[in-house]
Amino acid sequence: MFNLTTPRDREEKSNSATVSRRTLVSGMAGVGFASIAGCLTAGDSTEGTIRISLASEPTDGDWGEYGGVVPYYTPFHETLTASPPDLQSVEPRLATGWEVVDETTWHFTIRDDVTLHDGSELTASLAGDALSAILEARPIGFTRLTPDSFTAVDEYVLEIETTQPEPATPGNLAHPLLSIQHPDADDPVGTGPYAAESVTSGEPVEAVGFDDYWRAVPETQLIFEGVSDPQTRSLRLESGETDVALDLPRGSYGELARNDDLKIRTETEPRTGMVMVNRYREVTSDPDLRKALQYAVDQRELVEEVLDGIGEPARSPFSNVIPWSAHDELPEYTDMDQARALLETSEYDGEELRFIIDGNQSEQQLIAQEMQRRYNEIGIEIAIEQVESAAFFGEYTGGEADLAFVELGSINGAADYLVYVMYHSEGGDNVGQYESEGTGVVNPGEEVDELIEQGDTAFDEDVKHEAYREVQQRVMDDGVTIPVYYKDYVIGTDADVDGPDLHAIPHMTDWTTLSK
Amino acid sequence: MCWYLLKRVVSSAVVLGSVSLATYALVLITPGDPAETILRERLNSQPSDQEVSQFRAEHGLEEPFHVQYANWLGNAVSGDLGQSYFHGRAVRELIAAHLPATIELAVAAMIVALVISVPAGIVSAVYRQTSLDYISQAGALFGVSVPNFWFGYLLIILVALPLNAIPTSGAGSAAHLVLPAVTLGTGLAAVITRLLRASLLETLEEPYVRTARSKGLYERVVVYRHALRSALIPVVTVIGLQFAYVLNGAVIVEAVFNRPGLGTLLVDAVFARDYPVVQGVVLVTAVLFVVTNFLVDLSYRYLDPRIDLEASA
Amino acid sequence: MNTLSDPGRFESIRRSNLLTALRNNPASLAGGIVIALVTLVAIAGPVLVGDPNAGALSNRLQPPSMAHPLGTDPLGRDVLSRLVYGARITLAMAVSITLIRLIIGFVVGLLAGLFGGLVDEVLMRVVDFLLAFPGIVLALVIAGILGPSLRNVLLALVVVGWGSYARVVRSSVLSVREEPFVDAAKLAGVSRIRLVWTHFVPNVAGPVVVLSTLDLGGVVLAAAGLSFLGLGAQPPTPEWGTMVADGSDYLRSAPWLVNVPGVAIAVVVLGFNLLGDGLRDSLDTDPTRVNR
Repeated sequence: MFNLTTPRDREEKSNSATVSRRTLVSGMAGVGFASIAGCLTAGDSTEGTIRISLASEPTDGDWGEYGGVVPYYTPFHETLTASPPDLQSVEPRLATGWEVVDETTWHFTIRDDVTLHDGSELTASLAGDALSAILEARPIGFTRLTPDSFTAVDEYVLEIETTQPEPATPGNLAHPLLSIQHPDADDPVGTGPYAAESVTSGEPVEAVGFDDYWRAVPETQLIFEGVSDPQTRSLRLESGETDVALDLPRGSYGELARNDDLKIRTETEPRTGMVMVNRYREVTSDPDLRKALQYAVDQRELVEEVLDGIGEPARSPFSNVIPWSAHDELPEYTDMDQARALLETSEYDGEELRFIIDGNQSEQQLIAQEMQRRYNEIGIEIAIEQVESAAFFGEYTGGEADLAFVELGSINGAADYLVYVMYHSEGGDNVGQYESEGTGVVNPGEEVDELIEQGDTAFDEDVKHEAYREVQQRVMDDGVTIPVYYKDYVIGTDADVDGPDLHAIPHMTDWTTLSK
Repeated sequence: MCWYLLKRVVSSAVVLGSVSLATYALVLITPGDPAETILRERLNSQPSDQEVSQFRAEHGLEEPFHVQYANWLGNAVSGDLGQSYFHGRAVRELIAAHLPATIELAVAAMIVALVISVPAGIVSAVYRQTSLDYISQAGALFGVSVPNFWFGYLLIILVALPLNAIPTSGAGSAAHLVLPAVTLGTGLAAVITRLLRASLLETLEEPYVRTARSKGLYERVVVYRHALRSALIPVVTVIGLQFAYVLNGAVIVEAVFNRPGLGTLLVDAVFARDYPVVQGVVLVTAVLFVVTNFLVDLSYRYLDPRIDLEASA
Repeated sequence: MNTLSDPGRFESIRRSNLLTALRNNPASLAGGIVIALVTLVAIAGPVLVGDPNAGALSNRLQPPSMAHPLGTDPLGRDVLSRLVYGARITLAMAVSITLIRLIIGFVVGLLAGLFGGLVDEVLMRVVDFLLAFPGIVLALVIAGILGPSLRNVLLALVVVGWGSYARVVRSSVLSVREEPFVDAAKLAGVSRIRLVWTHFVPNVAGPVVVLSTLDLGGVVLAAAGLSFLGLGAQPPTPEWGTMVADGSDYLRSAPWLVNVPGVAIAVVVLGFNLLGDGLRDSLDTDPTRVNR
């Protein structure tokens, strides 16, 4: 181009530069204003519509992944059975009732007045095909449902055969993942008080009353949105951008509760925050050390201070809202002198223990640090390591940590699978190490395995509860778990919103009890 | 000129190729089998061997590394960045859904930055070594020194919480844009102010400006008509470059204000080990930066004809 | 364009001259004092304050008082103690990252400048890429995939940040190489490497000192930023960026939890920037411009 320029050339060039700069700036401003203008129209909720902020995207995960099993939390797809808010029994929903034909055969009577969202009628054969299709699409081994076959014995009676005696079958069928959906539909089609108006991945889902619903059709419209950060959900609620927010940060409960524009409530979940102590690692294989770790934790203080009083100080790995929790029979385990004495008799010699926590949980992080401080006081060295959520479970079940902070709970009518997953040597938490090393992580041995199987297959409630209580007693005696809290979830609603009725499992909230 | 262009295109392609290879290889050297990690997270239990191999097959993880990479690159060239491990959506879709929020933020922040920095830079250069200059320089120095993650929170504490009207997090309206744009924009403003001042001072010493002065033109005319124009050339190019750099700040500012943009997508994907998304976002960022750089370079060379493209290439 | 075109320019720069330059520029003197003070506090930390991890839950979230001049955090720990111990981490990270960057950049720049040709071409393309690509994005990916720890933050920031040093060193080598006296010396049989070394080291000292001082501020910001995103220190390490992130849950009830470490980061970065700006002006060298 030019190798030599005169000031005059340059002047002209600068002129063109000015023009292009101006266009650039005005173009930029244009884009800015256009996007601002475009945004102003979005996000305004109309009269009679209630916006609900959930912790996860309503369209995420299972909706797309498995041809649409069920979006958690949402009232679009009902199940055959349901769990009442107090979890003490199992109730009919799309099935009016059920009977045990023999130990492995069940008959469920399906309602004869149910229409799916696409207009088709619910029958026993449709329900059977629906459940088979779901189980085929999604490996659901973590619930203890082991069905062999689903057969329609007549139009409205569904026979379910299980490979082993499975008394928890009605409860298992209340799991949101086992909601009834048309097996042949491309998009998820089930039935429920609400139908999804539009489903675009990553976008809020609008819910309108389903006119042919078999019970009263709700009048309010709902919008479900996903907001992953708890702090953001809380700020959105405070600024009136949303009407209902689930799972608000526990640490700021007090502040929120003082806000007169909001109604803040809490409810205990069948979910426990606890620290798992690996029974098979070199240092923590010492039972006295494990017991010392257990006794040095002050659950009351942790819940009162760190969780702002939201939650219950735990004594069992299984929340006190689960019918067979041994909470009332187990003692409190807080005793620093006892901890010191146990440490004295143990063979612990100053080794550093690896304590992993899920990096996304700020409350767990605080609790872990407070525990570390207490352990330090009696002379146990702890190194806390935050692990990304994605890698956490792998490290825990892979036996790579001495201590692991987990929060586990049931979203099922029957919590039986939790016991199995956590403490049976072939349960999800232990099976990896059990198969590769012959050990496990926190499973206390064969006797406990047998007790779990006994409880799992007992049709007599008393026998089941007795077996599970014994499991809890042994687990605590063995010191493989340090229960910290039973989780309370915090739900906030705008003051001019009524409801919803709370359910111990927030996923099962009856959103038809919500009005504005 | 053609030779120069060709050279630039080739070197851009090399850069893009190596960045994609680097991110791809990085994933390979990380401990753990992604298939198992992802499935464990998804199922919340130990996946069976069958599930693991099914996942590996679905995501093409059985192939040897070079085949995997070649496939991915081939698809990427045709615009297919693969499938997210977590969201059950195409990576391209995810990026398309998150990009607008980041662009909105970038544009708004740039507007904030220009509104502050252009007057500040001019005042600073024209009234060189007066208190106005010192104030502006001190402001710019603070601007580059204050961490934007804290500044964002400071704005929330001082402005948003007391007023209770400005949303502090999320996206979706112009109001949501205010605090993030101010946070990011002030940092940019500091950089641009300093540059504009330096560049303007330099031009004020140029011979043709001196000539203009000696012709008896008013100082204002000299400054605005002559000096500012050429002083803006490097500034314009920096603005171009800063657009690529905005992503640096966006990663953090989006985290502070929980804006669902490209930065948030990347951070979440990194923590979730959602490698296809990580690779996709990095590639898109690299493309953005290569293209902006290229355009800036061209415009710079075009605006300042003293640079000989043949020679300096 | 190239401010390093005059090879004799930095010949005169010696350590004592650096100090003189510092003395003549009040801004950089202020920066130097700030950094000196922070370094002193970091070194004397254990004498000045108590255990950064000690505290009781009953004492949590206390506003600043006589007993706790900067308040307490959600675990009842003294924020001042944590701040002081955090200064050690911040400075240690910043200095080691910058130093390793400098060493790598020095070696690469030297190789590129001395050998030229293909070596130069390849190395400089890598540098181009590093200089232009958004560093935080790349560092985030590296540190994130390797897993959260201070060591990985250090590694990631080193990997993305040595480019500007390589460039400065390379231009110095090149400018020395092209000098007529080099040819003369070559004829006289002096080895090329030795020649470049004797003329080049004083030449490159100025720009490298300025560059690394300015870089230190950026490194502090980047390391704190990555920690803020959750990639850095493990609890209970009192790292400043992590402290800001942890404090963000309490913006309303305990704003000091984000403000205290936030101000601390700003002060240190400001100190390094003042010092760097001052040195740049006094030495009349702007290595950052070579990078554009």
